[in-house]
Amino acid sequence: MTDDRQTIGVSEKSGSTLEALVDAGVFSQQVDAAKLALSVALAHGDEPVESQERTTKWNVGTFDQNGDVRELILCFKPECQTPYREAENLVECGLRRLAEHLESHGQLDLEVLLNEIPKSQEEDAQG
Amino acid sequence: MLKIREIGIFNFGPYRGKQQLILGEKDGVTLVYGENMRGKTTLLNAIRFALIGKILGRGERTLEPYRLMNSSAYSEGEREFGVALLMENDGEKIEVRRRCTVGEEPDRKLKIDTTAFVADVPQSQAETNDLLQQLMPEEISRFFLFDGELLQQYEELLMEESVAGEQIREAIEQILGIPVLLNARQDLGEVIERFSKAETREAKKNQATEKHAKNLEAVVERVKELKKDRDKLKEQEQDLADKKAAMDNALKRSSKTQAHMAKLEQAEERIVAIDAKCDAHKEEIRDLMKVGWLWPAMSKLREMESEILVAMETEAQKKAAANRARLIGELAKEAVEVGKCPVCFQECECDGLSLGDGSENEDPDSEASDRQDEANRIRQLSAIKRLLNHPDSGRAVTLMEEIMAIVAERAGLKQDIKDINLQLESEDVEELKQVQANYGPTNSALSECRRALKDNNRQIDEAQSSVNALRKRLRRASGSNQSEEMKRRELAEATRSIFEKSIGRFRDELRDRIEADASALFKKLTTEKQFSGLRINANYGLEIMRDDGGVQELRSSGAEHIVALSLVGALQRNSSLTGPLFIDSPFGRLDAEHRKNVVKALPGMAPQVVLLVYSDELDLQMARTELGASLLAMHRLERRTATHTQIDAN
Repeated sequence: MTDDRQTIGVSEKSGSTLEALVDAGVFSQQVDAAKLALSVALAHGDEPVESQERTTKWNVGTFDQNGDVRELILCFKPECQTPYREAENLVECGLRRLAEHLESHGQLDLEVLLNEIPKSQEEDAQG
Repeated sequence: MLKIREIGIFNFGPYRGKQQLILGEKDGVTLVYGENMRGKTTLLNAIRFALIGKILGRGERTLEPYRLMNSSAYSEGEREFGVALLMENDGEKIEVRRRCTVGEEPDRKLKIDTTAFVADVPQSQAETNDLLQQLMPEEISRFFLFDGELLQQYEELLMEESVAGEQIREAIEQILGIPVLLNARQDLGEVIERFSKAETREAKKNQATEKHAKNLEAVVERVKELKKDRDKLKEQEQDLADKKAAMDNALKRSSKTQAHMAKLEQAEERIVAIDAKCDAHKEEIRDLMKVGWLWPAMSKLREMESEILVAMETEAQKKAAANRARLIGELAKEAVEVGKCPVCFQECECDGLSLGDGSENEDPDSEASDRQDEANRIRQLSAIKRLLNHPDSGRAVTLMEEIMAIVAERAGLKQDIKDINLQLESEDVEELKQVQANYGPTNSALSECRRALKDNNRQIDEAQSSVNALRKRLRRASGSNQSEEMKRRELAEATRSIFEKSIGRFRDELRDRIEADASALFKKLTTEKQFSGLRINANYGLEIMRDDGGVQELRSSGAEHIVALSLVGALQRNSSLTGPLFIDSPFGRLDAEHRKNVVKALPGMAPQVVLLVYSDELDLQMARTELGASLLAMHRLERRTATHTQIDAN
């Protein structure tokens, strides 16, 4: 994992989305919103694409103080060798989803956001 | 007896140009019909303006007279309006003219020329003022020219400590002539003071009485000072009472504005409360979101957890099957080698048979890989369990739902505030705020002033007792040598005592007469047979008595109206001044039967009665039937345009 990222950055557009999310008063810091975005992208099974210029926001120590992010990514992608690179790309994907969510709902609607996550076949069968 | 013969108006309110209403010389009832906004109240105001120089709006609010210039005439460049009353007072012809000239904008300063003519002879300004004051003192005009809808204010007479009630009571005493006696008593007080001074001066010359005279002089001086204080306090009390009454009126007038402001305040307070709740919710959500970022991934993690558990179970079953196969193989091999089953010890023939020990199918590489997989699964399961060990999203979802409800409520409240502010733009909020701010301090100052007045009266009584005691001593010390001044003072005091008693007796008699007259009229007016009459209180307030001897506590608007009309009729009958009765909207909320009774009673209430009514208020046919020969004339106020009403257009 030597090639892994030491910092996490976001694109300009995603930076604006982070600001909007914090301004809505639901997050005390942008890092909480960024991690939510990551979690959303993982839950949707988004395939992260490495692209465009990003501005560094956090070093990985700040971004993932207790290692939960790394652990989550490795749970979903056990073969992954560069979990923070993956994390950075997932944050970008997730923030695009959150930007669309804000656009259509005007605010962060947690219930809608969680209900939009595709259910497993088992859950579908139950519910 | 004062009668109005003719009313002439010029560009006054909706009355464009010069117009006349002739009332004639006979006693009886005149009806003036006019629908809403045709100028009935303005006609009453024109008479009030001619007689006392004031104009009242709704709720007894004094209006600037310039507002009564006909607006069409004004916009066409005319600047004059006015009113003239031709009257007869005890057989003497009197005319009063008030001509008004409106100044230019923005001040519209008004110049008013008032002239009275007695037997066609013009009077000086001072004579005019005296004449008008004599004809219709402002304080009692309320009993001659009034808005029927305001009759309910007489209910205030039943309330002790009511400022409005106190003012009405004073006006009632004025119309009944009590001030004549009060003035006489006051004048006698001044005479006593003058004689008393001379008496003391004389006594000081005599050695035997000098000491008592000096003491008396000092105490009399103290009484004088105390009385001066009392006068000042009374002035102050009157001033404060007037202010309070004006504020009460302003508050009554602005009840709509007050309701709007209360609603506004309520909405603003609610916004502050829900904002605080919203902030607290957001604070809690922010804390929850520090770990809540995991929620979207939770269901997948749970899915993974159960997949791993299933895989581990399958692997365990697979391992158990392999173990079983290996054991059976080992047992079979032993049986072949020994010729006996190691489990049941039966002999077996297995010559030449060769068996493996069951380990031939085992792949060492596959076993290592399985162990690695198992270790991975255990590690992954442990990580998943740790990640799942976070609070779920339920609380945050609830908080967010509440926040969204708050946001919606807030938007509604903001819209309400906007609407109320829009309404308040057309209302005098500043005046109301000022009244509300001043009301408490004025009320406290009035109470304080009344306390001081009570205290002052007590001190006067005490000082007066000392004066009386000292006078007795002085009299004793004078022996048989009583001065002329002393005799004069004693005579003046005896005379004042007669007036003192007569005031009380006169008041009592008047109250009895008013109670009797008002009761008689009330019984004619009311349709309720169980009401036996009215009972008067010290303030001239009237209570309705039932025939079982009880007091009717709850009174409807209609009952209040009938009681007030009874009081007005009784006052007219007992007044020292007899005049015309002009009533605007006389029937208030009275039903048909009560209206009929009132109409029937009108000719007995005053020699000249003029009713300003709208057509639905008084049926002309009924009025003709009930009034008979007492109905003198019927006039109509006809609409020409919105700003032009014509009296008797046809």
